[in-house]
Amino acid sequence: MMLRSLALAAVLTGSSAFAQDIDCPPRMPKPLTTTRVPQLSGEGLESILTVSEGDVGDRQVVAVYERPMSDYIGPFGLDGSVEWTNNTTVARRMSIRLIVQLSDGIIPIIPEIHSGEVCWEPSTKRIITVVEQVVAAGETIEVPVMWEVVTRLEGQLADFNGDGWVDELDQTLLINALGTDNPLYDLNKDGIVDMMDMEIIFQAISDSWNDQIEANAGGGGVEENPIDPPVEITEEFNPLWESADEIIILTMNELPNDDVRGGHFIIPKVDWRLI
Amino acid sequence: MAVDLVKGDLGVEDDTGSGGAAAISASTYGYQSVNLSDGENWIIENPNSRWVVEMYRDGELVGTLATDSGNVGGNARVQPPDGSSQYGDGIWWSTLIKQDEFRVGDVWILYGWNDMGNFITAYPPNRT
Repeated sequence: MMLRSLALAAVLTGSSAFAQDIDCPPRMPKPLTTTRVPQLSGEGLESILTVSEGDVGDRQVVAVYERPMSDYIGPFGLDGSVEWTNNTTVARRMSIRLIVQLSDGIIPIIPEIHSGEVCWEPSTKRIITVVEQVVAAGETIEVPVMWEVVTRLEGQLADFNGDGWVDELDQTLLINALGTDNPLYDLNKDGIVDMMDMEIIFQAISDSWNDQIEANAGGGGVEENPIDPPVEITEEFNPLWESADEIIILTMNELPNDDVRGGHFIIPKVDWRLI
Repeated sequence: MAVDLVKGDLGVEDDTGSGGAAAISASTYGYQSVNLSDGENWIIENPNSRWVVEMYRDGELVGTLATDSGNVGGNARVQPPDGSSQYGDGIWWSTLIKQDEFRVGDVWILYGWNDMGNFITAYPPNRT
């Protein structure tokens, strides 16, 4: 059996297309067993690791890939690999269809360079990736899979850099694209990036807003500043007791003012109840 | 209330007492409690478990209580979760600061040993 690797990697380039314009291939006949595991970092949930496996006896496929959370806005990449095994006596053209579902209200902008392998299915909110490879008899092939698109809030397509704001930075990007036919900046889809598109972005400049946790809601309590944000956990445990099998730190980040009071902010979600 | 599971595999979860679902309770009867859930290596209903509870305010130690505190008497100590109808799956400890004096930023740290063999025998500790 031979193992070899083929590169199937691409990067985001300037030429792009709105994802809604790309048709997706239909579902394939053989199902995979797919497991998606959220990955944690010090700041919380950060990405999802997916493992999909299929086995029909003499042919197997395993896809392992990681991508941001479904509600992430900005550069949105998939990075992983697909390994095919063909233990039959003939060469086979093997293909796999990978699914990344986005949250409601978020859409991808897919560069044209990925249009043959990545597409968007608006009805299901899914980015579909199709990878195909001819695998010789008795061969195992591992193919890296990597792409990067940009996700945006639906209705906020003028947020070119995906930072959540339509602002001067997006205007600068559009100015740099004036006179081109780059569909990423052609907001009115008339075939050219011009002052009409600039006018659209002027009308879409983001307002701003804010909110803070009302820590003293409900009355009572002794907190001096009721709109202070929740307290971060900064305590370290006493090294005197480090032989303990269990160490749990509880931090009061919101005063319990009612008989039944909801607290939150850090997993697990718990309540503090006065009885 | 923020819960940080620093070490071990026990969880904190809601129980459903008469006052409604809550994982952490402050009782006017002089107790505060946290309801725990089983870990992979520790069944929480263990009357032989040993616990120490420390409370801090502004980084200063307010007080320390332990299951077998020698410097306190009666109920002024930590009750391990024993599965009984009275204590259930919760750790109960005597109030170090009354509930109407709580401040944002107050911290309680719970240390648990699952059997006497691992427990620090010298209590109260020498803090010098």
